[in-house]
Amino acid sequence: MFINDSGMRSLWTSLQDMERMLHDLHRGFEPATAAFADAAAPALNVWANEDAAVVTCDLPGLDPASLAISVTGDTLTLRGQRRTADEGADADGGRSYHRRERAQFEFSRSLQLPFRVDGDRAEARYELGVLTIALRRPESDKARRITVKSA
Amino acid sequence: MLRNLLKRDDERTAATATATAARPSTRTRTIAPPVDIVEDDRALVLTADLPGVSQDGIDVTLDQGVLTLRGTRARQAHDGFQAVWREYEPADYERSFTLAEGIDRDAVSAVIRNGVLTLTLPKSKAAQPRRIAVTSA
Repeated sequence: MFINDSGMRSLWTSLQDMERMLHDLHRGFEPATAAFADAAAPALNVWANEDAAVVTCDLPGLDPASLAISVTGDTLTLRGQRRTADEGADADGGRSYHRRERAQFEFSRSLQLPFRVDGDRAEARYELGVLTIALRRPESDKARRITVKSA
Repeated sequence: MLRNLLKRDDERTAATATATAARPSTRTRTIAPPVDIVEDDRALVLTADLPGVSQDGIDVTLDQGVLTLRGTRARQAHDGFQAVWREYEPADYERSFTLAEGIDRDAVSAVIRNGVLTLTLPKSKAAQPRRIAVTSA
């Protein structure tokens, strides 16, 4: 999580912070992929604009029946199970593993979003092994532009 | 038996990865996907995680005993959005394996589902274990 000047933890405090983040990304700042690459917490990417957010996650071999997505306020929670079912191998004859690099795991992860989202209008797609969750801000919660009048 | 059916050929993949890293970052990088390889009496089954790759984006070739998997990731468009949190960088995939003798090359089949590629490499008849009946004299 990002820590701003006042020491409070916040994912996104202002447009300026976001621009600074993007500047860092373009400069080649390496995201902490290693830290979040372990099985219990699959890596997430978040895209956002003023009205909506999109969360993407690589989950090849996900068991779709096990997937549970829930939204509370500004927190998104994902739970599910990733299978590594052996397809195509015969039952007869001894089996031996030459290589075992893919893990089967259960995961549970919560993510704090930059704003509150409307759970009723959330959409999730699972295609090509990638989970994409589209979230919208409730109408009442959207940012308002305040006009400045001159005295 | 076919203990050494697959020999590691990661020098080739490492060289490709280094060359890719040296190029400017506008190019998508290529990584070696994690694989499981299981062998039984009938076949060798190779399973690889290739999230984001469709059937059209996969390229599997078997050339002179070298099996090469290549996967190109479908680009996800996020027009109108800005990246706010990035824990992973989408990449293309490539990995090679050297196969020993004993695979029936014409019967190799590949299926991709939910980003998981399953490659079945049946053993040729000569390579399968044969049960030898014992008769009493």
